[in-house]
Amino acid sequence: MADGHQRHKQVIGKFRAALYDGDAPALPGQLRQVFAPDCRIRLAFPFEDLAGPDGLYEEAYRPLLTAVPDLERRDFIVIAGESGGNNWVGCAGHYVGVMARPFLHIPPTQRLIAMRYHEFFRIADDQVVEMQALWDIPQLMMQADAWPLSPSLGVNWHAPAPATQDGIVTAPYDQAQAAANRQLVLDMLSDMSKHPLSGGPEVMRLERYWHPKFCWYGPAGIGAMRGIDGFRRWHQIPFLKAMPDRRGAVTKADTFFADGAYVGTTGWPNMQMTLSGDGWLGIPPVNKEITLRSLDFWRCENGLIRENWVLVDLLHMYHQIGVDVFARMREMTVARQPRD
Amino acid sequence: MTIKPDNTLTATFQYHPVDQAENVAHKQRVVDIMQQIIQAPPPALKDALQAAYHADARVNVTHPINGCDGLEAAYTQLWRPLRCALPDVERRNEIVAGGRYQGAYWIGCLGHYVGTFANDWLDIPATRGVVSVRFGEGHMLRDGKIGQSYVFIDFLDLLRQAGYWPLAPSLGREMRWLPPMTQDGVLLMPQDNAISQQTIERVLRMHAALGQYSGRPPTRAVLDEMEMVNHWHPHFMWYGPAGIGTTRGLAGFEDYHQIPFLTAFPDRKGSQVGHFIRIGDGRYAVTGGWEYLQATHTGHGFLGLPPTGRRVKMRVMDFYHCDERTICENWVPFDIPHLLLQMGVDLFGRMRSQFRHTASVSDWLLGSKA
Repeated sequence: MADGHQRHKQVIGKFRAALYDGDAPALPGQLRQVFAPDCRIRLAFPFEDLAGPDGLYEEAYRPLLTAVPDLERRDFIVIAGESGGNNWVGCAGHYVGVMARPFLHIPPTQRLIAMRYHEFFRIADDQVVEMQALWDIPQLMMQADAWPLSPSLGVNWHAPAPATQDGIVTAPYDQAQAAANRQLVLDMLSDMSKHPLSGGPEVMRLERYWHPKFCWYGPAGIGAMRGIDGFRRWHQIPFLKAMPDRRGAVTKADTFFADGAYVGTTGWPNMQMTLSGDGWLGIPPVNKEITLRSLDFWRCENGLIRENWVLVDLLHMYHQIGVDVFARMREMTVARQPRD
Repeated sequence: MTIKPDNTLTATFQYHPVDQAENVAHKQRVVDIMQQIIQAPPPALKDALQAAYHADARVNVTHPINGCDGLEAAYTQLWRPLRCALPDVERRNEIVAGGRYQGAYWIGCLGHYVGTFANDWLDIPATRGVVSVRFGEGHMLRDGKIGQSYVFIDFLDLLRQAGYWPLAPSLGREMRWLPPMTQDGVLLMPQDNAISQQTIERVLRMHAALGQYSGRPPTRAVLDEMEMVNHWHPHFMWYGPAGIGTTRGLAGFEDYHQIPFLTAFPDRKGSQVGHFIRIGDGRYAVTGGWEYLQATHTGHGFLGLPPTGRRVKMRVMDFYHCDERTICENWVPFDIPHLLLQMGVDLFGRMRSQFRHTASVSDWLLGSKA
């Protein structure tokens, strides 16, 4: 199995290399070498389910390469592991380049842009048979000065690579270390889920799991923050105030896998909740049941979590509650949109 | 001929001619009262209020002040905090219009308080720099004193000037409202009753046309059924509240305000209560309702928010400036924070916990009122 994870990273290595070069004419062929023809592809709203490698190219990468012709993929986390009998490779990084043309009607900046991605690939027989991927499209809107909704409470950051610069894990698979770190994250989530239904903030025992200097890199719209105080203030309290009945995550333990110091989770969706209170993203309580897609990475250090990269499909969430983010963005940037 | 719906309840309106000498005197009296409140040395402020208001006066103010019953409440909740926040304040009247409505004399004032924002106001952090605070007011004058007031202060615009914007960016332009293009809105000379009548009736015909909106999705074709083009100057200015912003011309008004508003509130309708002023004075007219306009929040798009399904009541005033044929300018004080509160969004709570770092986030979010 250990060798298997190394081999799976090599499969994704071909995909990473292709997008590092970003050669549009060559890409469809390169994708077909990596993805099974009937691969299940699930990409952030508004892309949603795409049909195999050709759908992924036509619907997503071709428009992205049209908008950013000098596209370059930069991974800062690449890990592999097994969960629930499935083998996954998880990547986090940024698509980087000069935005020369519109992308999803986001007006071009003619300047360098960076869009974070968290992408997970399920591998069978050395082929990708499922992809779950979030691209931080709101982050791109913000760089284009076109984000049409409320500002982030946290800081709009270019999420950095791990502080230890070892996110691209190449060491031989360490079963014991991976199992311990995976369990740490599961225990943390298990305690976290007890609040607010089974007690105040203390039942989460946050100090037990999180390093005093931990960084939490949330999606654009939520932002980055530091420490328990920052995490509580800028993300968790508004989140739980609005959705006290949130559930999921840890109940699907078979979506978590680990590799060295890193833990990743898939989930499409992996949280379910009712938006019933004020506070989150400035959204009113619409009393609507929604689901969230969150694809996350944790870095553990001496039995504590020191960094957490989180992407949530906020555009999909807005779609569920009836807010057309793209329509408002087009109206707000009308002078920068092509004339009819 | 089909009978058109009267959703804005304008059909029963009757213009009451006013004695011009009396009307000018009333307006001058309100201008003087306000000037005294604004200029009185702080120890003399209570005396100025006693000279200004009847003892049982009710002063309704936009959220988060809301209702002040009697002089003491008006002193502690409105005027003392305002004078403290802007110690060097000056009041710039840009429109002062008067007339009779439902047997009483009403004076409408629109303008800005200009001053150095020296001390926090309602937890909005002082900038130590100059600010321009929008107001729109309706005052009922009886025996030389104010018996009732509606005071719209655009606190969201002050939040904006303080560097904190808690909402989606506005579709219109957030800018200081301009005074009337003809610079003649402070009407302290006699006006022609015939023109005053013409002005308010023109405005109410427009209101009646708005009231004929069918509630269908507000496409251009559906909007055209209201025939707004017949009522407005082609280049009319629409000065909207913070959150919506200022627009120009019918297309700007429709794109940046009317379409999102009607999408969100398709059943919006006047009610039998809360309308407090409908006056014409020369080329100016003032209308206003305190929770008169009511609606169900069923559609997306307004302020970038999803539908909540909640019933809401709106506090709105309109100041109009007309030429011989059309409405050229419209200033719209509108209590957006109060509307949002009914939809479940507490702007001031959000501001206190997220902008005022001294306040504990849990006070607001976890519900303790400490």
